[in-house]
Amino acid sequence: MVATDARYRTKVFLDTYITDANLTDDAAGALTNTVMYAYPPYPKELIFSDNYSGFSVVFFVDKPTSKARYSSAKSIYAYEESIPVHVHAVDKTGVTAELLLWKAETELRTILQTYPDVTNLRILPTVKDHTVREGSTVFYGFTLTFSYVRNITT
Amino acid sequence: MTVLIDSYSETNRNTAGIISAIHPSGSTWSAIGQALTITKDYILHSMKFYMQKLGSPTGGLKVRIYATSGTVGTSALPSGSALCESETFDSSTLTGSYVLYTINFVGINRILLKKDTSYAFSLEGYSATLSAGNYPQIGADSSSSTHSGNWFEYTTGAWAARATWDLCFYLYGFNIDRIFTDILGMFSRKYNMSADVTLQSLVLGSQNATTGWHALTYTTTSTIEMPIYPKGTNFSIFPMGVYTRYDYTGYTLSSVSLYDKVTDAASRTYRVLSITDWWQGDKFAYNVVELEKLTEFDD
Repeated sequence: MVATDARYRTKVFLDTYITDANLTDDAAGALTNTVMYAYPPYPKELIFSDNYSGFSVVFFVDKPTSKARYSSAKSIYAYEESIPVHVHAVDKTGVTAELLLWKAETELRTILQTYPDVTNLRILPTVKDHTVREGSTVFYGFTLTFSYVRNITT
Repeated sequence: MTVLIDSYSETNRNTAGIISAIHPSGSTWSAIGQALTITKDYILHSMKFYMQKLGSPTGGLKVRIYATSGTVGTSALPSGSALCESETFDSSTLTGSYVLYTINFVGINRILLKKDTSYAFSLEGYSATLSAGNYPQIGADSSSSTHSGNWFEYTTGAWAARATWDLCFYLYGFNIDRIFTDILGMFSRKYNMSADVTLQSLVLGSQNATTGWHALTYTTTSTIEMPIYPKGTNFSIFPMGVYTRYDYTGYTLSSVSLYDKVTDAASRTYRVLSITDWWQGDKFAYNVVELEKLTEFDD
């Protein structure tokens, strides 16, 4: 994937800066998390199942929508990318999904504050609930949409 | 398909009991039998007895089944009224030498023989004419008999047990744990269903460095019983779908998980999309499995 791919860059950003130790269970015990593109070609349930990967919280990076910014000379000088990140957790023994999601949202806020992009502008305009039910499993979650203004030279 | 529930071989015979009167008789032998304990749940089907005739009996015989009192193996006796009775066996069909004869139970007389429950299986005089010189002899063992049950008889107006005697008999029934599997087997044959499939269990492999998605790898684990209804099947007591037998009574335990693959005898490969437990009573169940047929574009 090329370096200009906003989706990939967002995944790398999250992979790099999310601190695993901040995403813990109800008793502050260690949990595992992962960042991946949204809509993997297999049921989401397997990602959380202890019979498979057993992750407790997953950051799904969705496809961005892009909008060009034009200069007064009517040439494109930057793109504004909106990249939804769906964060999901399930209730497990010792893990209350809603509590874990708040830790995840706090972690995202923290890394945006701690690691502002000095070259481009990465901001956090919206956070919306994104709880879904698939079969008998409830995937609690929220969608955080990064707005990411990237100069064409970077 | 019937199975042998219990037996005591006719090769052990060294003596005989007789039935020379209609049961119950206050003066002579009118019933003989064996008390025993059933070790699994069965539906009663039939019994065999090792018999010959003396004289020319013409009377009918029936097997009646009772609950027991006393200790099975030494002193168990029939108790209460009969739970069921067999079809009538015509004693005139006996010959002058010992042969195994089958007596059947039909209709509502095919009762459930419950696991860990004791029953008394009593062969009784049912209709004329049985008499002192014309009666059936029923093979038994009075010498170092080894069956876990015990013999009993009705002689002079009362039941009596003999701890050292055993009846030579065969008891047949339907294994209740197998009934649904047997029915499914019938549908398999009728509709030429694919019963044995190769199961490939999903393993989530390493995550792709770019997407984060797991590699889907499959391990071929076993051949399992999973009948698949073909197109055109127009009737079944089972809902359309796929079944894998799941029980905990000592038989094959086959299980599938979400997103596993199965390949049938015609090399068609399917992916498991959902699994629903479908229970029959509290002892055994099938997993109804929703499948999608894979195409060349699938993994």
